[in-house]
Amino acid sequence: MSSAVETRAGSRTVTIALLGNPNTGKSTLFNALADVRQHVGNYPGVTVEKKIGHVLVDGQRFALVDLPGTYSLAPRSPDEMVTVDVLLGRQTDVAAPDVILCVVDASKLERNLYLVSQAIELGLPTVVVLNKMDVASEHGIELDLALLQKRLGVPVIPLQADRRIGLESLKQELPQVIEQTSIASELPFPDAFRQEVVRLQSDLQDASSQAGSGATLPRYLVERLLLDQGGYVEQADLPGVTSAVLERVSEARARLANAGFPVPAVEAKTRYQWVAQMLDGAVVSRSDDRITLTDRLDQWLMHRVWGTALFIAVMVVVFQSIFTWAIPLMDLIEKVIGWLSGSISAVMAEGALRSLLADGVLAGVGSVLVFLPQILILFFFIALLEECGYMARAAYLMDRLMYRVGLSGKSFIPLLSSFACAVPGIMSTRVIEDRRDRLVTILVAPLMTCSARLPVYTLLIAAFIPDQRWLGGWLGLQGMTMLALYLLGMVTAVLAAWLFKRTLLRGQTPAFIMELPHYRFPSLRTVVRRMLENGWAFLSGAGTLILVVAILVWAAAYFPHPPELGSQVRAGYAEQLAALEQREQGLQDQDDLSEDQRQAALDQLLEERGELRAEISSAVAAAYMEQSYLARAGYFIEPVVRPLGWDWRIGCAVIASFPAREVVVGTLGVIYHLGEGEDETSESLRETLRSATWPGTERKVFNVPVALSLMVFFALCAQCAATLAIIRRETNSWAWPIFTFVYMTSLAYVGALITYQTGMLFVGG
Amino acid sequence: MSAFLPLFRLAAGQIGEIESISGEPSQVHRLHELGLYQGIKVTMIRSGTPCVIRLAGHKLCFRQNDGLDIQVRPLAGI
Repeated sequence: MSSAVETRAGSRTVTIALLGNPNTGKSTLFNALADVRQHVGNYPGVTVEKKIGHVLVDGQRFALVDLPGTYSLAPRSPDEMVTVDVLLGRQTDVAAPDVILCVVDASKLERNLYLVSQAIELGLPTVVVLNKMDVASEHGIELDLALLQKRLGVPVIPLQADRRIGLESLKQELPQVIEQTSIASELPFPDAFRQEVVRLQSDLQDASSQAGSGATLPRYLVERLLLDQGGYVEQADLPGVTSAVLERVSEARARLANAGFPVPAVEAKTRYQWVAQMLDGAVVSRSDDRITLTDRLDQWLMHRVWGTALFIAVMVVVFQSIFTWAIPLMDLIEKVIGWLSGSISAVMAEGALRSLLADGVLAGVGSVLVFLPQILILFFFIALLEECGYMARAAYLMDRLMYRVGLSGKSFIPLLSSFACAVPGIMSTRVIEDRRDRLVTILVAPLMTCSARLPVYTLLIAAFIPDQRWLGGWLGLQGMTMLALYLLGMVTAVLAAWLFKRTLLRGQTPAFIMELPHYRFPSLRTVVRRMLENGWAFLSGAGTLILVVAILVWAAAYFPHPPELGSQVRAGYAEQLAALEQREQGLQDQDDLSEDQRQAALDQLLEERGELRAEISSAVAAAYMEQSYLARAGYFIEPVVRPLGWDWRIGCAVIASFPAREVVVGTLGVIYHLGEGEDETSESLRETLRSATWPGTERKVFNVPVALSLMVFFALCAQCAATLAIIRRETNSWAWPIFTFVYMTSLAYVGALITYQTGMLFVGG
Repeated sequence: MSAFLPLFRLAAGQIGEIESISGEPSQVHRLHELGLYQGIKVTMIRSGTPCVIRLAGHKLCFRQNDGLDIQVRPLAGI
């Protein structure tokens, strides 16, 4: 290879593609090899994450491309096509690989070599890395590496990636590999099949040159076209793949079937025959009847009763930890942000810039950062459970339950995580291979009652739901309301999932197959790295969008901000202020008071003045809010929200809470003249809400049906920019977040409407 | 009594040899890739839906759908 000669001179980066089955430790190897790692988002148009690393060995630069774990190179979806395209150098945004590093689980060689048999057909220098050598020997598998290497015709390197054993010899091997000249062993496809491939190749060539492109399809893709009935290669709009050629393909498949080599069985037969030839004599396995530690653990951990009980216990610990650790951290973040915004207000002069920094940027940064503790803690546990092999067991235990909804056991953890926060929940759907299942899970995850809804519930329940208790205080109406809201989210999610599976994402449920990996001791390094990677993915993928939305909402609530409005409002209080001043003056002039009496009176005055000042600044804030674009939007939508029992102010607060649900609490505070900084436990906010009236009347805005209608709205709506941003990132499309927002908002509206209208039948309004 | 029975009818502990897999081609293909193909021996570890089977040194959790038919020849039982 000429490129290899150039590389020796160090002039060019050599690109290595990492390929392997899931659970082979491929990503562990990637992380152990790469000195510099970068995640540069997804490949265009698909949900596959692009992971590239760099390493320097003896002055030669290598770029590592980590491909998603796969059992086969037979693409069925655009996502799976990316892997094949990267390997064939057809993916333009990644350098064509010079070497394929095929990572293989030494304890499961038979199935792993299936993928190797496809990899060596690509015609690139290939290295087989035998990972998990320790597990193989534990399972009584003995390997003759020299023989295996001779048979395969490519270098075979033993490794234990998680303990970094063998890493150095792999690195030393890399420079030689690119000059590798040995011929990989050939696959024993029947002659009839080879002839059909050659024939199809020339058909494709003809069709392609007729179209005037002259582009040719690599031989591997021609094979795939023949083998993958209903596969992605048929639909991928490849050069020469016309309907006439597809016609030829079906004819060829029919001929092969007649000759006794039906598609796709011929592939499995040929490849496993080849695997058997490779392994014959090179592998001695005594593992068949051995009861391993994994088997013994599974007897308990996968038991319908004990296993389920243990799973519930594990989940309790996980969620308890989130509440014990994340909530204080979130409070701390909010306090720090609050302090910073307070300091800015103290230092800077009043104006648009101060408000932008304090209420726009800092509030936006805060609403991004506040998610981090939950994301990090949840992903710590998810990574831990996955690394030790337990996650597959959890999916097994929950499959029966989830199947009734039309999903598989793999959707359980993402949905459960969404009770803490939908963002990590949606990010953890990556384990779901079936595209439809994954999308349905993503779409319904935001319906789970996340912790951001709690402030809204807490405020409204405490203010409007009577504190009635039964059974000696054990059963309370307030608690029951909270429970009902949780159930509402869950039941709606189940119904929505059921509906989506039957309408929007219809299709035959594929058979659910999941590997149950051996248990192993998790590597803390890997767990922490995965946790940090997910935190970073959130910050980089969703952070900027959330910030932008927060600033837009701030601008809507701030502008147009005519400066004279503030002075007008203040002028209205001039008399009261003057009266206070007069009393102070009077106090100074009065001689018949003792020092103590004078002091007490002065304190009294000071307090009154403080209260008046607070009242004035609240009134100013409310006045500005009332003429802001946000309020105009609130007035504008009032006819729409009126049937929900809301006035323009509630409508306005709901619009303002688009970046994050909990914002509604603070906005209600401002809009009802309480000033900023009110939180859900504030008694004055509760009191104000209770006494607010419709303009010009004595009729109260809030009653129980209105509070319930607002809570039902928040239970079902998609008022969370972070969730929408992460859906965009994970689906790599704007269509799905928009769909989520539309369907959830519609649900929320209808739910709130029904709640209010039904409620009013009882209350009588 | 037929010599073959559907895979999911194997009792826990029973071993079966896969006789045939029929159904939608792409799904059959996927099973092949995971090591489930004609002639391979499968041990049923936990029966039911989903079931847990062992083949060629690894364990799979498996829930069949209506479009697939896997017939096995039972070899031994416990």
